[in-house]
Amino acid sequence: MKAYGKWLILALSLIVLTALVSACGGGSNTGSAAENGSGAPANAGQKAGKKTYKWFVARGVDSPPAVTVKEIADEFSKTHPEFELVLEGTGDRPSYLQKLRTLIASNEMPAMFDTDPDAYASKLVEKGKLVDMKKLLQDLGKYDAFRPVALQYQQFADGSMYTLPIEYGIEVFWYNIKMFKDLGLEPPKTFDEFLKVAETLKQNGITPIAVDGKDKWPVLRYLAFEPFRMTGNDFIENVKQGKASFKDPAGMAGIKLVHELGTKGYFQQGFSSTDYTAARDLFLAGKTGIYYMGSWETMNFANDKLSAEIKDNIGFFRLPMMDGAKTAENDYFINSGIGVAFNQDTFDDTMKEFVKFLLEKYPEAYTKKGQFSPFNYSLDQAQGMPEVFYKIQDEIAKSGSVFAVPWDTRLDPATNELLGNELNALALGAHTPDDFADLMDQAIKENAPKYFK
Amino acid sequence: MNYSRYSKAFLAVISFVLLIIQVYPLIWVFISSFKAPTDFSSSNPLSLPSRFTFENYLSVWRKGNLGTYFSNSLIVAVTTIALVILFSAMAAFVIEKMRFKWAQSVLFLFLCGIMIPIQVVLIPLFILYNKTGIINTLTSLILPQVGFALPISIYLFVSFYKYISNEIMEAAVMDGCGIYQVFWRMIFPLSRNTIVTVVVMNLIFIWNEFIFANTFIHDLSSRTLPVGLMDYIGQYGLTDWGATYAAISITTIPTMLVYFIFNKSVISGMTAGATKG
Repeated sequence: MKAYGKWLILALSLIVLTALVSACGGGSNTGSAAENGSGAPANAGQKAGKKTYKWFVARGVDSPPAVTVKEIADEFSKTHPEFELVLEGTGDRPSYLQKLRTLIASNEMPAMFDTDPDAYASKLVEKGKLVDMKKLLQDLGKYDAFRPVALQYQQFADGSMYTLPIEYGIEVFWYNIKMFKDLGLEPPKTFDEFLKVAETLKQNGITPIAVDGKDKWPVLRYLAFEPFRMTGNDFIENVKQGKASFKDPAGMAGIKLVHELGTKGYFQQGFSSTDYTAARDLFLAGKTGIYYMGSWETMNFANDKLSAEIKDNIGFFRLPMMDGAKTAENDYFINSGIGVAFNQDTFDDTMKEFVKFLLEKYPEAYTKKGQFSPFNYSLDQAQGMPEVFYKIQDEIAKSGSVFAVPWDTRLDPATNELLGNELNALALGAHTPDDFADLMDQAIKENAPKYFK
Repeated sequence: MNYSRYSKAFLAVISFVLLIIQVYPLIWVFISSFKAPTDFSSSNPLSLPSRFTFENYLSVWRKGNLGTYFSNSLIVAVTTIALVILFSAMAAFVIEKMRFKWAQSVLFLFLCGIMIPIQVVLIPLFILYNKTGIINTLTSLILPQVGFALPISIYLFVSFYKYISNEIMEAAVMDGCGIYQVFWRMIFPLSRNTIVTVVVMNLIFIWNEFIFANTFIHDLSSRTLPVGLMDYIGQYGLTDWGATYAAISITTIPTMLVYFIFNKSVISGMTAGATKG
């Protein structure tokens, strides 16, 4: 045996090697033939003068914004045969971010990708990797074509802007008109009235509010409502760095509201495990009276899939007011969604032409899909949109210039994670408001200094 | 095994309860895949479908990519498993039966692979595959998964070969077998149960592998099922549950079939060494 040892190892490793090599050949015969030698997904392909640009989308390639941009890109390709836009993406944010960061770390930044103006994006800006969107829009004379809030939302704290907004949404409380009428309820104007309405619904055996507790952000909105009314965005901007405390009146007001809504049973049973679709469907099935969500859902409140009693029976009211509020009635949560960043290295004349073309075509194409665009653009009655669409469109035209910022885009990641997890516990009554405030202050004290250096 | 009648009944009840707890979620997904869209919005999630409908399955097929994903998953799984079996059986044979000087160190080196987390190698592999141009092909999914499956598979084979007596091999050599004939004609057929164990153990991981597939594949045409399932997640977490459950049902059936067919061999492969056949 022993004498053969060396020879055998050699022979076996040879066999293994040949097996490996042939496996490489055999396993990849399904790969796309379009792959070019460099394997670069973002850069121009080597097909006879074709330039292929990739947009890595964070919203699913079937979402209205992605579909609209793709349609316009295909139209652009007709006059610019060398241009081609390829979309890849997913609506699942964690796996999107994981892949995006891998791509960028491997020097394969896509020509276009979606990002919020967060800490990661600002690092890319520092390295000069992104196109200055503010400058570009001013060059193209399009800066004023946008709603001011849409652009503000995309800005970094210093007022610079590197992402293009392609969505626009205001957030309102949708309510079941018939249900309110039957119980003689009016849409509430203040938080006190809001709680009274919830109590009345509850007394009559109806779950007052449907909320998506699984995705965390909808419950987080409830925490932010009263602080926004009392201080604008000052509270969150200060508290995130420990310059304010959750024990402050604004913080406690927010905490108490969530605690009350949850412990009094104003949210549906099992809200902490209800997902986005299920929460919306509860409301659309007429099982709850109120549902807080953005205007992107508008067309789902007016389609033919709804039962007759719900259809044409959905109204909305604004974020309630309170005494001594610092923000106006028409100030509430407004956002222009996750923006599109452009890779500086692949931004050539063709791409610039395309952006120009996109800005021309996008507002109309997008709005006709029943969506609200970040541009100053509206459809008139003749377009035959559902009534609720026009109502929201009017509301958007009337909305104020101070908008509430989502807390999860402001806090450091560790605190954010904790807040998301503990907030449902607060609503379920596992924390008292005071304990919760202490818990959050403690978390900020630990995590904020490291993050906001 | 002399249990009294009562304890037998008690055991039966306990096993039945456990069975329900284990199987019910799967059954529930399967039943939900036959629900009409209105069932999701208007009735209790635990209720039966108001009417059995194949709409969801139709809409999944109409979406049209599931077939592609499925065949990709199949190609990746079969190729990976075949390579893993081949390499690990051979490596273990050398380590355990050939007794060369560095055998234990080689085994240790392989086992070190257990300690490497997938996330650590992601970016280096991406760069490597990108440079060699196999990114975005199924090869880029097969290679790393073979690598990650090897340590535990080699370990299983090594511990099984310990039970094969050297006398059988000596007898075979006396009858004129070479090393390769010993391996292919005797050892390999004897290790049937271990092979099945390795197949089933790895199949679950490979079939459900997400990170590599999400990172290395850009085109729809090379996507595998787990990444493909994300087609049903829309913006803001909006999900078409009916279609999702239908797709999940289609996705999980193959793994369940493999389990049903092989489960006896798996259990004996895990527990016993030299159960012959």
